[in-house]
Amino acid sequence: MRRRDETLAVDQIVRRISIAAGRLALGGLILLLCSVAIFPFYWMVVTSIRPSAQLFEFPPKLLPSADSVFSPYVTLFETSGLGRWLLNSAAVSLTTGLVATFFGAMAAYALSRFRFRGRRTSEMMLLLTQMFPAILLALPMYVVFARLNLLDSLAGLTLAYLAFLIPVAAALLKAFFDAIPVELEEASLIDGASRLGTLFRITLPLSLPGLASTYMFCFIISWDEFLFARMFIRQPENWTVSLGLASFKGEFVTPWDQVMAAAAIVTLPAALIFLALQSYLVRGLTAGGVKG
Amino acid sequence: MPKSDYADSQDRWLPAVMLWPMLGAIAVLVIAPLLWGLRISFTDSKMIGLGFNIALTLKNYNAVLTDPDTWNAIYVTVIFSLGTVIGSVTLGMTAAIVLDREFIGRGIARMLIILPWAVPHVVAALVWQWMYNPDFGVVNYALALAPFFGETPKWLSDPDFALLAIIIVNVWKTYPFAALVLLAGLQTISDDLYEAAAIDGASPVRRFFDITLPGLRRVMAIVVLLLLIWSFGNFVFIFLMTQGGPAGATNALVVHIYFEAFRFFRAGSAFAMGALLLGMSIVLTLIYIAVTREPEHA
Repeated sequence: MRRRDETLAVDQIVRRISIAAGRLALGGLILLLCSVAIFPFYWMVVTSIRPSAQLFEFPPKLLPSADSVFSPYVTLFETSGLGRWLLNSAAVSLTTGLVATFFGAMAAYALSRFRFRGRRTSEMMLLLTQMFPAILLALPMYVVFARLNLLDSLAGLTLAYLAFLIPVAAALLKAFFDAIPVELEEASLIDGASRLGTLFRITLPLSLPGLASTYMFCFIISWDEFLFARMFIRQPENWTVSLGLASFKGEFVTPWDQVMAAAAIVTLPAALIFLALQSYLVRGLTAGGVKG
Repeated sequence: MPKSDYADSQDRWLPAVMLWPMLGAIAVLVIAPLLWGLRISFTDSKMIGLGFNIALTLKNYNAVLTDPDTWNAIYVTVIFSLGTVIGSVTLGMTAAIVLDREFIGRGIARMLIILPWAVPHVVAALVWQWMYNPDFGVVNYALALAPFFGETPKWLSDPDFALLAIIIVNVWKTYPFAALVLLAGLQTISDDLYEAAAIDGASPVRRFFDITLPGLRRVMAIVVLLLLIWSFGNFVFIFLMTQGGPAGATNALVVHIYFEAFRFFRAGSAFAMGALLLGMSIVLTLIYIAVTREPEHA
């Protein structure tokens, strides 16, 4: 009897140890994954506030220096075009988001609610345009835009972004409209409201979260975009943040503290929007297969 | 898909009015330039002349297909994409399995793990380039601390390590997407299956291969294909970090095409290579459509 108790006790200890070991391993894995994910961010910030004299030291100090400086965050606006680039990017991204969401919503509603000839073809085109590598659009578009005198202008860049973001917005919003029950619209139609009246009074208000998310998604894609900007824009006063950031990289010596400060400033709005969007994005991306 | 039985007189013209702006935009801004580009690929246009009256020729395709640089670019593109997929799915799957468990601070861990997805591409390229710095970079500092590690590599300027270095950056940037989608997939697998398997005495490894992986088949296919398609088109990382070098080690097709057009001003052959890339993307897209459409017919 006592023997059995003892083996039971040993069993229990073994089991407790293995559970504890499992927890420890899980905890270690979580820590590891989190540090892999955020270390580059940490390093960006630490570098940005390090006195430039200490940048080229080996071994690098992992912790922020005691005499950290925050001046890059101020001087950047005075010595570089960062302020201008931020304004340019904001203008392009806000406009692109607005126009893409508007036309995308119209197309999405038509695709979601009506049956008509060519619907499947339209959907297919929508998907195909998103799947092409950007350079395949950028290169011929460059030729066309050169003819139309749209190069080196923010309006031209906005137009180029719309070419691939309207389909993206339509795909995201179609998934959203599909999820809104038609019965709500039917009730309104039976009451004698017109289709458009129903759309504006019932469907669109219900889709506000979807519209807002789509808007923000188009905003960050435009904010992030580099290839089109690089090809279409020449003069520094027309640069977007991507171009401006890339230009910091010097031929011989790169002022990494300033680069990292600028990078942090550019990351902040995109990252905040992104975190707000994440759950919605997973649904939209896998449903419509959207560019990320 | 919802279909209303109630119609309105506006329904006759409304769909067309709602659709044409998008279809028009696609036709004018996407299809037309694409066709024009295809036309240019059969001429020896220098990007500036671009007349329609240039004679048609297969010269570009001939030159491009016999050029070892093209095949190197295709090779680099394939390795880059496959490397990204393998790394991203492995890391993403690990993160998804961890995040599927309950633990204190799961929300915060989830947020931290997906942060790389939120960072702009240019920022990621710059930060990693700084971290890869062969003399003062934190990556080589970490490697020097590790035992059994001889000389630290020069990463982006070493032909043997440059592509690996960029794949690592791309994995870091894309694995949160894989993690979130796979996590959503994991949560659709019924707990009953796991309980039944546990009662039958199946080991956790067995359960992973017999229940988890089959349950994720479709989601996994979507993740793999999207990652492949995105990696195929990735321009920023390579362009900013290595410019396709050293010695062509990272010269992926997209970068190769860009330089062909903008450094060497050979529009004809740039578009001919574009047509190759187009062909590969269409194949991937068709597979993607086949995979995502599957359940509708089932």
